[in-house]
Amino acid sequence: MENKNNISIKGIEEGLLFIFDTNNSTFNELCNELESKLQSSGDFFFNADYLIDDPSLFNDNELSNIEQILEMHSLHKGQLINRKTETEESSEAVYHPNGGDSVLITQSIRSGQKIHIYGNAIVMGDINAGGEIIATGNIVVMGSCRGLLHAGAEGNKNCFIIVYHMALQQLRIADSVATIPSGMDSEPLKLACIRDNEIIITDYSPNQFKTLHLDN
Amino acid sequence: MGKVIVITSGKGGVGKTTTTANLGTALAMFDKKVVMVDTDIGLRNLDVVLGLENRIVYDIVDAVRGNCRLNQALIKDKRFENMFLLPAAQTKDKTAVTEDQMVELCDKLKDEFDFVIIDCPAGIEHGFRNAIAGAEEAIVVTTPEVSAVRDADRIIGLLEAAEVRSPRLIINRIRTNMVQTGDMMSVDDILSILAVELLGIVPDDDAIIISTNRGEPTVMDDASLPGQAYRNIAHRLCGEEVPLMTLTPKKNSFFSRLKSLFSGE
Repeated sequence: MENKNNISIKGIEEGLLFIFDTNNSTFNELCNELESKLQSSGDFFFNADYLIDDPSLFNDNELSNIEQILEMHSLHKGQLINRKTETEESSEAVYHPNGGDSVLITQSIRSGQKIHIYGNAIVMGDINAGGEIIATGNIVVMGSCRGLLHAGAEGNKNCFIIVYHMALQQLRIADSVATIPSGMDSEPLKLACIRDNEIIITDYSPNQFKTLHLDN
Repeated sequence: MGKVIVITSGKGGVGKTTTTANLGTALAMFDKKVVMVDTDIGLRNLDVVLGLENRIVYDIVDAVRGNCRLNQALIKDKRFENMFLLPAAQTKDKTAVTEDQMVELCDKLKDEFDFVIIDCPAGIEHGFRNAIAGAEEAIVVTTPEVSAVRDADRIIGLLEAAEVRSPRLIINRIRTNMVQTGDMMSVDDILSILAVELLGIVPDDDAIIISTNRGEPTVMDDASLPGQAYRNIAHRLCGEEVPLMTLTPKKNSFFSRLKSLFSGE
């Protein structure tokens, strides 16, 4: 399996679009590649909607095989909405950072918008209730966060989250989930990381940050 | 060339139709030529709120499908001759009209009118997409409740994605007493979450229910506080600068009135 780029994944409004290139590989190779792609990404695609492009490349049998693999990894079949405008921004975006391992997002994430990031995420804006950021690396939010954050989505327990104003109800690091009691003190700048398999949230300070040895 | 403005909210029951009826009527009172379009096909209400339900012959579906001329479907108001309503169909559903047809309809209407005000259905599905298809500007209506604010946030995201120019916000049904006691979200709380331009605030008032039932928009009543608020918003839509209303908590109980009478306040 040296040729491993016959499947690409794109975020569109309706969910994740799996684009298959059937020119260079057999169906079995595609299935293996899909399986290993999903396995290596851990929870990253958990509960996402999927679409297949283009379904006419496969016969019914092959299609149901692919769907089975996707559904085994907790993806759900999405519905393609007929869209009139091509300019529409997708509410579920996937970013692959170019030339670095961080993505800078300079807008607020509103309810219903979901952003997947391969790498670290730096958000200069708010994340409103119902908005989601899922990153394979660390997340830093310079704003109010009322939505959902998931750092280390592929299973990296060394990932951390820093939020300027933490007003969220839940955050996730790797496969740990922390619920945050409402009315947690509203001092700005909080750091969340995993200690002894549990998520802890503390006030952020650069020195304490060093002692935590969070190196990815 | 007129402006096409969609009034939307995501959540139902926050006052889209009331806002549409009152802003449309206020603009007509300022001698603007106005048409209100009800896109809530299957659940039409705007005709009732305006008191025009007995005049409907043709509706929006007839108009876009060419069953009648557009002018035949437009209902002229009984009070203002420069105010019109294009009613929704009651027996069809949202898929009876396409986005392209809505764009075409709005283009035709804005040639003839100063303001085309579109009353959007609740939700984010087909009906919402139809309603915003031909719109150039959007007004998002919300109430000071977390659920309504969250839906407004979702709607603003969708409007921005659909490139409807910077949406403006109306906060409806504010109860000053509750804001003061900290039981209701304040205007500032809502603005800090939604981060959009505030077009106006409308106080909660029982008069709205009465005027809605009678089919007479409250904006026609000079003494009505929400009516004043809607007139202010209409002035802002015309490009005038009107300061925000200052809402003082009213002493609403009989006893507090009695007490103030005796204490001579």
